[in-house]
Amino acid sequence: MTTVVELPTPTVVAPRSRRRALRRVLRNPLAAAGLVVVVVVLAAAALADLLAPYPFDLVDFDATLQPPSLAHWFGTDELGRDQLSRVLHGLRVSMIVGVMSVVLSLVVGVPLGLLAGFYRLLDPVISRLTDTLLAFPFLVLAVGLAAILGPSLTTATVALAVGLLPLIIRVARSETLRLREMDFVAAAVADGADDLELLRRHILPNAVNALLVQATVAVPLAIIGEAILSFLGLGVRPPIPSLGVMIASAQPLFRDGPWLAVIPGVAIVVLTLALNLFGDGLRDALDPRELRR
Amino acid sequence: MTAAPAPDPAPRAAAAPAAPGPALEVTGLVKHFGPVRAVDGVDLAVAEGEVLGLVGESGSGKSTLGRCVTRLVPVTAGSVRIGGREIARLSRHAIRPLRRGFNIVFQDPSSSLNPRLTVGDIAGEPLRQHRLGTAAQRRNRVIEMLDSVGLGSEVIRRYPHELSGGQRQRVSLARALVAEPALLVADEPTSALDVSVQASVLNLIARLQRDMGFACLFITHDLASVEYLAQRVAVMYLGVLVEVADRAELFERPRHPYTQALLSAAPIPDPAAQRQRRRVVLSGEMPSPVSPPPGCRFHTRCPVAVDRCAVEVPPLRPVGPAGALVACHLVGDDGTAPSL
Amino acid sequence: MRPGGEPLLAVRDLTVRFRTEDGPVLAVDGASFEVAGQETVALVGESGCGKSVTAMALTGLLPPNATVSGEVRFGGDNLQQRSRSALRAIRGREIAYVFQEPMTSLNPVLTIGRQIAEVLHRHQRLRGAPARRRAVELLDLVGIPLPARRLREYPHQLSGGMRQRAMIAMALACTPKLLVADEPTTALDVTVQAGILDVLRTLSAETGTAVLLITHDLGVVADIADRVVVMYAGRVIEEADVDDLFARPGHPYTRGLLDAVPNPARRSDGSLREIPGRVPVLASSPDACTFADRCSRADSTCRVHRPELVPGPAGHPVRCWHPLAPVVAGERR
Repeated sequence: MTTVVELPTPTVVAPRSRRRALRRVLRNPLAAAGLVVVVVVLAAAALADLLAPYPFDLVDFDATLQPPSLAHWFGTDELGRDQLSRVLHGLRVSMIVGVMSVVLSLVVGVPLGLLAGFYRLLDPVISRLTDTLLAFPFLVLAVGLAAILGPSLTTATVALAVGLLPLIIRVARSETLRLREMDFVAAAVADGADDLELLRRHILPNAVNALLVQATVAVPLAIIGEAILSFLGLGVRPPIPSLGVMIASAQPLFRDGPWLAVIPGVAIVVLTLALNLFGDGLRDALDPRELRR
Repeated sequence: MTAAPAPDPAPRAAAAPAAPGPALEVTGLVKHFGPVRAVDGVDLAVAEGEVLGLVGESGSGKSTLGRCVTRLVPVTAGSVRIGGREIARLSRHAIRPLRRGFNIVFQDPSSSLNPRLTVGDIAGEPLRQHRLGTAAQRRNRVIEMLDSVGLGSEVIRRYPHELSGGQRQRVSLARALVAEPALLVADEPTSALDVSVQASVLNLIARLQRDMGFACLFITHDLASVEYLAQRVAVMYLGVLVEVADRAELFERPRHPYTQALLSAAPIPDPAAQRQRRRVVLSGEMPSPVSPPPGCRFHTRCPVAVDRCAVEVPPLRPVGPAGALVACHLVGDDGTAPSL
Repeated sequence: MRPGGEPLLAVRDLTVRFRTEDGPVLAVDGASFEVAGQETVALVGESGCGKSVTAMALTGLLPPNATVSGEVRFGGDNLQQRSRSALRAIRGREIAYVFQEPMTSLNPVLTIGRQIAEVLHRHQRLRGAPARRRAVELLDLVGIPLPARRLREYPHQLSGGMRQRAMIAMALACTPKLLVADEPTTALDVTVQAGILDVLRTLSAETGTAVLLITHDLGVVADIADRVVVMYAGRVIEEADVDDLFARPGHPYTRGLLDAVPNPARRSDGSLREIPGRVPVLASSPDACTFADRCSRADSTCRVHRPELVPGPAGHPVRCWHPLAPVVAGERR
């Protein structure tokens, strides 16, 4: 007797939809590969001090401009510094600036977006702000701000965060506009919730998925932005290695040591591509249209 | 299933002060969305403990009316009194403490529950917002309320997506009734459900209403469920009421031509009776609420309209011995109705 | 059941399985039924019973994660063995579909006239003035006023009821032998629905088209169906002429459905009949009655033996070990 009458008796699983989404991301080979790369890079960046074979600023004039070898996998630069160690530290800088600028942007942008979406009166003000920011291309804005604020890791982060702000506000606003028309928000009003409760308890938690997706799109943008700022001398300053700084300083040496520019360049491409693939997979997985029953 | 809510340990004040007059009284209610005249002058009262069925087709403004009386949207003009209290012009903030006395249930059980909250949190939301009782008392009350809608206490840790449509609608009812309001607005509560589930939700509403004694504005397009649940029925067309009567009166002697057409159009699950029925098929469709027809709003589709109907707005007036209210020039004061 | 000849559509042992993230789902479990020419058959059931999947499976409209087995004979032809392109040709010309939401089936950027003209051109090589004449004829047939003017309008300019009429007109453009209408009036108001049902009712008489109506609404069934096939959890559980089914339901589920609808025509002051529990989602076909868990008449037999669709006490086929005996008229509560 093989009576398989599966009645839908669901067990208690905490926010299952998100865990399910992660499973769905992992089933998408490109997104899974992206996630693996991101995790490996994060780990490598976090453990840069342990993994790096040499200190990133160890100058060795006996081994300048060496092509990749067993002793120096990624070669050395004109001061004989180990490029592998510098790339690892550079990735750390990239990840810190990338993630921190997005976090900062979320901290400022999400409340603004929620307010713009929720209060009709505030919307024109906040939307005008985002429109103004959007009038400048992201990089032009970041470069301009960094130039005004002066070069440093912090100003690069702040400049990038401001540049990313419109992306975050836009998503938070449109999610709020969508959610505030939902019946469960009306039900919460009927239950006596005040505006703060509506935003905090009923709207924000349901906007998290969309914001998460937008954040994964914003991080690679910020990483490229940081590289360009540093390349232009507006971000991290030598001797702290940043991928952008490394490419910038490798430029005059391109004929003698092409690997000096190529390797950090490839690192940026691989990292941002991996983040984008993962972000796309996440977006597809969280897309409500994909949530068939 | 339990017959009545168990004696309640949590200290709850009486749902509303025993105010004189009806649980809900609406006068001259108008709601415009820009140029759309969704509700255009409605007078309506629901007595304490009464179920009033509000029937209409899509675009009639019935749902907007429900959202106006629960003040989920601002009211353009007119008065809404709940338990004698005028709420039409109160600010969103000023209404909040009064919301204990009334609540609403929506049509779509998949969108009316916050997917990020557990059933226990959802059902306890009114208690939490109105700061009723301690956390433990609230929890007990939620379990008790879930029990009286036929859900076991194990659901309190579940999320809405883990429940079936019928179970979700039960959660909605528990949520709306947990603070014992004096008025429940039910906006198409069974329309999104399967037939067999519809029956259980209708039975549940009937039982809860009997046991708890709240007044209910039951909004629906489904005549059969109104006939099952309501004591009185109001028929809405294009923003205005065309007929209000006791249930038996309305179903046995529909007077307004629109009511007659509506009743004759509703298919009944009985092939023999269906074949014997004469069906009035209306010409055209409901005009746009942006520019409703002058005079009687139904005259453009009315099979018996006369010249007067296009000019003069028929008032909702009492006709016949049973006190039905009808807005039609062709219905006599004695209640004689035009035959379509 | 009906005398004479091969039926227009004969479905034999149709089984549809889906591969889903939550594992395999058996959506249709050996469904068999027939539709004769000019007949209106209603396929009735609640959501999840497999009625829409059955309709889609007829002409291979299911997504790729579905596996279909069984036999679909249409006009003596086994559709299951036809290629995708052959099915596409049959779809529209011989079997036409009308769905619940006309707006998603109509192209928003083309006029109604253009869309009908395309169908006429594709299947009948009709164009120019004759095509136009035919289009006006069709809109007139489905009761659209001022048909010549409507041809120039876009879908969004029509009301919901008019759009559904336009859909039916398009479906009828090639005088199909079978019209499959999947919940055609569910999204519409009753006064609008009444008009559409009138169109469907007169259809077979005027054009000779048979109708397979997929619906959950017993009122609609009572209104226009000649014969009814009731489905539950993927299986056909009862089949009868419409009067017979409403007067003498044999399956407890059918009876439950009938009693669950508030029925103004036969008032009862008691509460509505509830059917406890819910429709099971099946991974495979159990050797049991799929309704047993919800049935008050179920006993051990029902849980371990599969009931077959055999003539019950009222004479029509019922898939139940303990079918209901016909009740004398007037005795029903």
